[in-house]
Amino acid sequence: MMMAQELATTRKDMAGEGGQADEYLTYTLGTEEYAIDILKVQEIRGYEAPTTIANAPPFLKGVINLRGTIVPIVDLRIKFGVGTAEYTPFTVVIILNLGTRVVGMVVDSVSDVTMLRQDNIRPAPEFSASVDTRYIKGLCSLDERMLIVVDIERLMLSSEMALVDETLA
Amino acid sequence: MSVDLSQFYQIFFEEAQEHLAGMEALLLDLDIEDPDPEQLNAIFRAAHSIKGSAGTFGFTDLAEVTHVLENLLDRIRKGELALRAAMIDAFLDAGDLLKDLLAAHRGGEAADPARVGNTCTRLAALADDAPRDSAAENGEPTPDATVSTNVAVSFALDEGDADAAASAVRNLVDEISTQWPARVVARPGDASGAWRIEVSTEADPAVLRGMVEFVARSDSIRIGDDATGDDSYGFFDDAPAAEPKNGDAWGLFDDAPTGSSTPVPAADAAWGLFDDAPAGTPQPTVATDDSHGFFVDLPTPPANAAVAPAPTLATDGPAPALAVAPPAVERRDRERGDRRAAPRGGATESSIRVDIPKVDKLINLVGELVITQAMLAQSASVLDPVQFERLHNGLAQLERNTRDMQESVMSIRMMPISVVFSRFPRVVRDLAQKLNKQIELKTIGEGTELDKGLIERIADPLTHLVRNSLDHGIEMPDERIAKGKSPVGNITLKAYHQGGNIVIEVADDGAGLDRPRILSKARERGFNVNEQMSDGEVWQLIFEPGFSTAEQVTEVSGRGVGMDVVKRNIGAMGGRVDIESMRGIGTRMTVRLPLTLAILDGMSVAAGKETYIIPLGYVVESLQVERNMVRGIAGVERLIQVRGEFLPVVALHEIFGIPGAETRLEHGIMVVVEADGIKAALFIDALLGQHQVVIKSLETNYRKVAGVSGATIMGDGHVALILDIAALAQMARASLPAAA
Repeated sequence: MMMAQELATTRKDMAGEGGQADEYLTYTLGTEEYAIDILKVQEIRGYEAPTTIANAPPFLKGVINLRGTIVPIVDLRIKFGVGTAEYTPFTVVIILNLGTRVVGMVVDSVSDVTMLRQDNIRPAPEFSASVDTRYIKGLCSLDERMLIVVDIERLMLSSEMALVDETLA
Repeated sequence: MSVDLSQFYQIFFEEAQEHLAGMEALLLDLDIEDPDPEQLNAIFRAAHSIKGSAGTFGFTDLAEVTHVLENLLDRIRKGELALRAAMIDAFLDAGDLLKDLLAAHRGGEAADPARVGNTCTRLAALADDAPRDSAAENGEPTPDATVSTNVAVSFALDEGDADAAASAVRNLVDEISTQWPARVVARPGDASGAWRIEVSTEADPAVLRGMVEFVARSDSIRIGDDATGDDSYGFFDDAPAAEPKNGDAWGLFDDAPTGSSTPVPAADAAWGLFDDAPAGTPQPTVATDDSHGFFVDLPTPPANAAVAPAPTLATDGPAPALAVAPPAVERRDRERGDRRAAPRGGATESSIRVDIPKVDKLINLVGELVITQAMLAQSASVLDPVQFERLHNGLAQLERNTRDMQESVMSIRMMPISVVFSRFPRVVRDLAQKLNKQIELKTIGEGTELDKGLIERIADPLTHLVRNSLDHGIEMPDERIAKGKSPVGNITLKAYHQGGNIVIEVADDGAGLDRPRILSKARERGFNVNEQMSDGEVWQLIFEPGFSTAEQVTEVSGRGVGMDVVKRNIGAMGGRVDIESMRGIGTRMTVRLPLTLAILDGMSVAAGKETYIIPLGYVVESLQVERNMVRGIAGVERLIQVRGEFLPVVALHEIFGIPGAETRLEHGIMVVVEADGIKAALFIDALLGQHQVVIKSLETNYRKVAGVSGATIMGDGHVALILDIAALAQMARASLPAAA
């Protein structure tokens, strides 16, 4: 388990060499690699069978008890139709803390934590990724890899994820 | 530093708000013709406290308004001004302004600065009015209600220059005048003679004495009625009644027999000396608890001018009435005082101010503790009871303790409904004034407690119901008279516990709901209605969005927004509203709410692999059906017959699409539930047990789910959903006509 706080402290040490650098957690969905702001990540934990919710969309696996809080779990692999939606002891859930809400998301795998300089993130052209370009902040190439930087908060709270009551959204 | 300040601000805001609320309640309670000095003092103190702290924190606008308010109040409580209805209005307005200013300082919308000026001017204008004018303006036959007592003070100065003595006395009178009206009534011919001044005050004679001692020879000072003092005013000598000592005077009214019509005792005649009211007019009079006597203070002649008729007063017709009145009034005052004093004394010393989040955290922790305890109990249940007897005993005790603890902690959040009820006197008063109706508001069961979260959320719907009753229910006074009712309409607010619910009733004795009009209006709006509908169903129509039968859209209500919101809000709290109404007799709206939002007695049931919780309050019975009990409609097994009653079947696995659940009705269990008067049989796989569960909101991190009212955490740490029985029963009813 990597805790956000620990990661945040290392980030402080590394910043300040000119150019706004932020830390991002990268994960894979199918063949694509995504990066999300690490400050939105509360914790990463193993998958446990959630309590299913009636008549919910298929990607909503249900809700779990996270130390007394009821947290919905979405499987992004099902949502975006990538990878294989099977649950093994190695399946991971990223618990996101989005302001007032806590949401868990299942991804194929978590890669690592990297520093990305703000000026290295290029605006995304119209291209077809699994995630709608509306929720993409930009692209960033790191070594040989291309990272898709996602505005995870906007994505999760969008009406498309159906995690929020329409009246509130 | 700024953090610290803001912390203090918060306390100030809360305190100021409490003071304002208290002030408003007192103002509304105040009897204009007979103001209770204790209440006036309390109002004054509230204004004074706000002014003090506002000044400290630099909220000058608040301080400015309260300062003017305080001045006016101060003059009233000292009896310099008579209380008038216009003043109460001005005070209430000022209170509103203060609330707005407070809200502005808390980061709300800024109040109009012109209002501050206007209010101050208005209050100042009231303060400038002479009491005489006020009595005339009111057009009341009663003397102005000023409560004051003229105390005569006589003293002699040290021998010396007459001019110096005169200036010393003038200074003294000026000094006293800063606090109470005072004037010189008699000055001696020589420097050593006795002066007589008259002070209009209720203060302790000792205070006066202290002031006078600065200039006078202390052995010469006489205060009170015996201050008539010096031989030079010989006409007092012959009046034996004019000599009661101070002590007697204080005790007099306490001892006076209530309502006695016995001839006025001599001492009373002495009070009459100073009573310069015209003898012929019987007047209700006012005395305060600690008055030296009842010197009705008409502004006209000086006290000693009325001295001559003293002996006759005792036998004079109206005089006994004068003498008898005060004890009655006084007794009432004392009762009032006692009634108020008791709760006040208890509340201030035994309560602490705690932030809500702290309490909520405590409640959450206790909730966790209950879950942990349940987990332990479940783990231990597989252990041999004989071998692990001590463990089992310990766990049983733990269960009891956690349950007690949970109850105690939950009670922290419980607040009396008077918090909500207390706003209604003002609402009703303002609205009745605006609509020219006469309303009497009664509140019953203010001590009934419910969760603070509910208190906050019930206030607006209740206000709406009350306004609705006032506007639509209660008729105009002349209309009421024509109907043979009292012109004063009654609105009754009543709260009480019933089972696991709290019930709040808003009842009026107005016109009642108009069934034909509601029905015709409903048709106009295109609702599906017919004449066969029960009254209950017809009344529920008024909760439909856009529905209003008011002939006229008023400022108050009639736009058809509101009642639907009321129903929705109450529904969101897990409650419901019922209406009973009778034409010409009145209407009663009954709001039923769960006691608390946080905990629930539930029955856990299984369907497929899932566990669900049915709130126990909805469960009527559970049974296993036999083949011959099942009735089909249109080939679908939709009804079961239980003791001659046909119940629609709600199959949970169908509604929730649960895989692997039992589908054959006779192999599962039927739980008969009742919600909103609809009975239904909920079909599930098996009963698991009965628990007290901590309700967790699904909406915190997710959204509302149809048929589910919340979630809870079971003993094994898993999440179980709590069924929304009312919604499921509705689904059952909705599915029936379709199936038929």
